[in-house]
Amino acid sequence: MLPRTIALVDDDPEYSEFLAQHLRGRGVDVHLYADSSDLLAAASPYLYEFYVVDLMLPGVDGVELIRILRKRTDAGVLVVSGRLGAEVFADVVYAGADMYLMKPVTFEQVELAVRAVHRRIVTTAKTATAWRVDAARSTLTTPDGQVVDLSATDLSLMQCFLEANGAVVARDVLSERLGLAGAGDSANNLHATIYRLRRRIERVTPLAVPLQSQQRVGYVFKAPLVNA
Amino acid sequence: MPSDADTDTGAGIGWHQPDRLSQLFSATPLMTAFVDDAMIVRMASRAWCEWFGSSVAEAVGKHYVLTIGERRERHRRHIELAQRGVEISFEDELVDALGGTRWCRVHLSPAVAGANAAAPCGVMIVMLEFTGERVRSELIVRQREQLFEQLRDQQRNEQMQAELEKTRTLLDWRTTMLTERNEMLHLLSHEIRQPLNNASAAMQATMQAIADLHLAESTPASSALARAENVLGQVIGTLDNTLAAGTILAFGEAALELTDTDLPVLIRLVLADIAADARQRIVLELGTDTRTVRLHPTLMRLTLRNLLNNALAYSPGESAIHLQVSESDDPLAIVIDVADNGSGIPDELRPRLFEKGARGANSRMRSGAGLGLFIAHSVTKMHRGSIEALPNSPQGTIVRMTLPQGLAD
Repeated sequence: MLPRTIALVDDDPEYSEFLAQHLRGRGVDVHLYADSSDLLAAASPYLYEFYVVDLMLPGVDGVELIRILRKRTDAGVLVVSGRLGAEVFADVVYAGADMYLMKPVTFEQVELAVRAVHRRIVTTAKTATAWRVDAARSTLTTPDGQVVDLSATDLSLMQCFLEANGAVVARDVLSERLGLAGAGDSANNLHATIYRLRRRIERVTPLAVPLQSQQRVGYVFKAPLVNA
Repeated sequence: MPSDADTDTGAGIGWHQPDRLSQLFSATPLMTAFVDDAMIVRMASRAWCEWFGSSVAEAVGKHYVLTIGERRERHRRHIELAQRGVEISFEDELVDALGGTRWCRVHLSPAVAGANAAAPCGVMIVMLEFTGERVRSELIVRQREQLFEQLRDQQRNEQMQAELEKTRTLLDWRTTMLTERNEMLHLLSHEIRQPLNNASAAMQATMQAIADLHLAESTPASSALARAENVLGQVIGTLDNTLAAGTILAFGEAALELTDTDLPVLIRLVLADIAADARQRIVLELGTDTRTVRLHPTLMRLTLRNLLNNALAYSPGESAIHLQVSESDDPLAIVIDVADNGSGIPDELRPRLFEKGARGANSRMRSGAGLGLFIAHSVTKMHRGSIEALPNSPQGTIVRMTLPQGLAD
């Protein structure tokens, strides 16, 4: 699944022209911006369904651009950059990019990444059908109708996300609610609990699981979630 | 013969009479005494008597050894020599009531009456206390020792300071070199990768244009382009490895930021990194439905690319490479196997398989600096995981990477 519109922000005209050509060939309406300021000054900079961003840009720096975009849009952001260095990667992730591809990349790889990120966003945040928590039966029902049995810990976890109503829940809050506070045992910590729950959901549905980690902060359930 | 003074002056008359002399003697502040040839103390000063814990009344007229008491041995030996006409001096010491020590130099002068110097008529004893001098000299010796000690400490400190300075200089130099190297790496990273990226883009566009012509068979142009793309892929791979190795070495674990990563998507990205003709030899076996895995996508993409390219290069031309993903519950982990049917790893290479620069002897048609497994090992370690090379059946190697999940950061 490809987005209908993409803003491609890259100051390398040769590369972006070829990439735009490739994506247009797949039916996407691609707008090229060689300078990030051009995008921000455009009539409707936040209405694109997807953003492909380089990091070293004239105008606002790529990482900063992502931070600005994130304030206004939940659209997918893919970073395609020649910049290497794990510290760059961390910056990009914190700024809110969905994926980072290191140049050189083929057009197939860019397309693949765009499809994956876009599909995840469309099937989670933008889905019309909510995920349903049934406290009485201790189950979670996925938008495509699959039922996941929840343990007592899983249920408390899902209730935290219900209360948060789409906001990020801090790690220590989750740990405390789950009675895992101070548990040094790595097999039973919060991260392991979430990993196991997500794994169980992924076993029953091909949908992307909206249970996402926010770097060093906590976790968020990025999809409509209701009490059944 | 009496002198003129004796006869002329009435006041001086009788000064050499024994009791007068004795009185004079006893009053002198010096420690002095006269012992006759029969070893009887004839005259003694108070100070001399006090040295031996005696008094003038007790000492005078008695045998010398009665006064000197316990220290008689040393004194008698010397005084006997003096009685034979030898002028001699020696040292004596005394511990007083407070436990302090006093020192004295004892001078013995034979008293000669008449011409026979070998048979003196007695011995004149003069003792000079030098306790102060002695204490001072001891103090000086101690101070000198302390000074020497301080000097040695200072020298040691200076040496250490110099060593420290040297180390600091080396560290500064190393930091400068590392910084310079990183700057070089970033320069390379941008200045070379950008054109490579563009060349690759142009080539892809050309291939697409040829494909759009819908020619029945592959043309010489398209196969030449495919070969060119392979070469480009190799250059890119080597460059990526060099840059990653540099980053890993320079930053270590600080470089690591794990994120929720879609593993099937990452694998498809990796497969697209492999040259098209080699890619079809890879058989993907997803043995788990788990898709979201916590790892470093950029470094893991490079690692998987390295493992696959290694397996492809070290196994027969048409043989399949199996990329298997499975999961483990204890420990909670994702397990990635890359299995080939090659000739296996030579024993001599095994111990240093994951070291930098380790390369197989039969590394035919392989370019590269032997960084592949070194990076795989470093990246796995950064994920707090493990990597091992196991024998495949009936032949070949399985490189197994175990990446723990659900860990606290």
